Amino acid sequence: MNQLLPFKLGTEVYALELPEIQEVVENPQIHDLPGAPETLAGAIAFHGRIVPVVDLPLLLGFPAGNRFDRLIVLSDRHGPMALWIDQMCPIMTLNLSHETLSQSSSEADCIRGVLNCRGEIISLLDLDQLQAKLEQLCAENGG
Amino acid sequence: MDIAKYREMFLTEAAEHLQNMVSLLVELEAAPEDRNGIAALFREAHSIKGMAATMSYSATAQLAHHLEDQLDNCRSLGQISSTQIDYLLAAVDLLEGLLQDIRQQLPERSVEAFIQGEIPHQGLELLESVSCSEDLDNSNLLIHLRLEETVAAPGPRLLVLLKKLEEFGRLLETIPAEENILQGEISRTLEVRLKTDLSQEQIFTRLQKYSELAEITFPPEQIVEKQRKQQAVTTTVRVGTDLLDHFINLTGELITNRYCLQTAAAERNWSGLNEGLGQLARLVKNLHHQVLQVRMMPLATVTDRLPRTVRDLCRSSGKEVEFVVDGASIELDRAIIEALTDPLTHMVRNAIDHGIEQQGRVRIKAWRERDQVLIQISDNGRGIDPEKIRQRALQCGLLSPVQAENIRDYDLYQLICHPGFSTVEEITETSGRGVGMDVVKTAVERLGGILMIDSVAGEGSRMTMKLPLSVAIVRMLLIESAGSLLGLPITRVLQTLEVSPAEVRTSGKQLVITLQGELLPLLSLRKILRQPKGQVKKLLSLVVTEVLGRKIGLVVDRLVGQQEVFVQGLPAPFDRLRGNNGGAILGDGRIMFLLDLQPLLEKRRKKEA
Repeated sequence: MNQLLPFKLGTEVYALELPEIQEVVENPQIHDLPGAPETLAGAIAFHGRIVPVVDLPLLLGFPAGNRFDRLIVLSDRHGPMALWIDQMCPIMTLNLSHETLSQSSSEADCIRGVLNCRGEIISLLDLDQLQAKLEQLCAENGG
Repeated sequence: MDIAKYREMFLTEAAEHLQNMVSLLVELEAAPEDRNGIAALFREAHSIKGMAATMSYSATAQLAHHLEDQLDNCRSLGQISSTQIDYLLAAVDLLEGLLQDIRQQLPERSVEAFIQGEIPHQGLELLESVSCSEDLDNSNLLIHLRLEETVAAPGPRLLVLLKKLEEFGRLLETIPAEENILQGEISRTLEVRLKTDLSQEQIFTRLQKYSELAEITFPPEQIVEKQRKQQAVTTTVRVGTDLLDHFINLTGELITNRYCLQTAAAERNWSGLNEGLGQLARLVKNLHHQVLQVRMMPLATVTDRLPRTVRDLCRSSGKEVEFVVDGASIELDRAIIEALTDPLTHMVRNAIDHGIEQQGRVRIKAWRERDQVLIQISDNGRGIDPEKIRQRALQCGLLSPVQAENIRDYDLYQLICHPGFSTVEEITETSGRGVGMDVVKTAVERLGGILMIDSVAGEGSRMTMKLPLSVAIVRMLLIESAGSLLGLPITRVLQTLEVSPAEVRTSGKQLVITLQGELLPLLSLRKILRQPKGQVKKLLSLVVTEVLGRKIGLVVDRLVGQQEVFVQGLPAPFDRLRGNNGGAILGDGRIMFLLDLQPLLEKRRKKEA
């Protein structure tokens, strides 16, 4: 069985698998990062470390909505970095291999698969693609 | 047995032996009949041979054995010729190449040709540049293939696919490797790095014909490269057992301290709590000191490599240079030492290439002044001609004619650190390619240090680096701009002051004030960081600092104060962002970022141009 944490970006539902997540931070104080592009919201102090915060809806091209008061801090394999999202949904337990999982075709949208869960469409966020996207972003804004 | 661990140990030790060999060889060149030197050299080669043979690195062992033979001859003759020294240095280069192969877990390169007497002409450098350009080349493509679960014999199928892929271009790397598949390694996936002129789409359509392939993807290359870099970065340090004992004792004391504090807190015993906290402060300070000790390395780690560089340069330029190092035992944080390797080499090359005319002396001198280390590179060559710099600066438009007339020599010399600034008409092999002093200056400033240049025409020039002892803990000036907290290393701050807006005048489009008889251009930090405009205030807070060789007055919202902070870099890939050099978490949980002005201003300048 797999555990998923679904969250909203704009009107769409995305999800991450629990092992990909290190912690969910409530009411974080986000500090400005000088010279950073808009899609980086800043950084938080997370257990004594400085962890950059990515404005995920903005990065993926969703309209500026209400940013939620919680951040998802990714596990160290993909970070450390924190994702700012629009809204968080309750954790779901399901068997990924049993759900209709269609492979995503386009590489631009950071989706590694789409599942149809009781009529709701949930996109699995592709963290490798996200990381590649961020590397490109940082290289463009690098000096 | 953990091979990786032993490999690390082998590499570290072998690198030390090689470094010793280079130093000995350069010394022997001056005294070719030093029997002790030759004997020491023999011992070094012998140690490498023994270690390599134990680890079954046969090519390395073979070459070391060959060196041993050569040196045995020298030992019985009691002298070593200069052609032999050249030969042995080339062999050391080749050994370094072999170590590099072992480090990257590649098969060792062949040494047969060398032993047969064909000396590769600058072999190592050539090889390095080739592998470098291949890594950066865009024609590299990473292909990930997965076979259908139903394929009965995956091994042979993968071999067929490899043959097919070879038709598309050159295979740089495959996972699993071809030999491993031949030896029966079972895998349903194949990852290939291919150097090819074909596009992704072309390869995709051609591979699609193979029905046994379940998946054909092209993972982004950057991630792979990053992982590689990280692999290369890990190094080992030797730590004395006495220091380790200190650490364990300190840990013991900290544990005791924790229980004292817990008890005091449970009993609401305020005086006990205070006492415990005082003790904790002492322990942490002690621990910090000890950890810094572990990070310290002598300057010799860098300067020991330089005699070889000097020797090679003298050979190629036909100059005669005496090279002296004073104070090589001064210790600095390893991060600083590592960052100094390139700048020091560059400055020494500059001194020989542009300073010394035929014969002269280059000297590195290092000493401590309170909590700073000064490293000075001086030569007794022709010196820097201020007129030449003035002319060149006028040509590039760095200075206006009025500025050019009034600028002090000290500020003029700083201009040679401007990116792309070079007064050398001809480009030589070693320096004058437009990257030079700007790299040195940036490296020094990144470490929170400053670079001073002075020169007397006809008598020589002198470059002095003023560096902090350690990088991790830095004294900062904290400033505030539109609510964000930023820091500048104290060493970079020339002065702070408050001025009334009435003192501000305009010169052209530029706001300026007069400070000690000089015009000081003012730049707004809010504007540089593209933050919203602030309210007009009764007094402007200014930080006077130097950027791109020019003094500027940075207008900030508020000067907060000074503080010692522990600086941490941002995690990759965010460490590449321009504008900050990492940050620090302060006692109240706020994050302060280290302001890196130079790239921000360069970007602005480019936009304006």
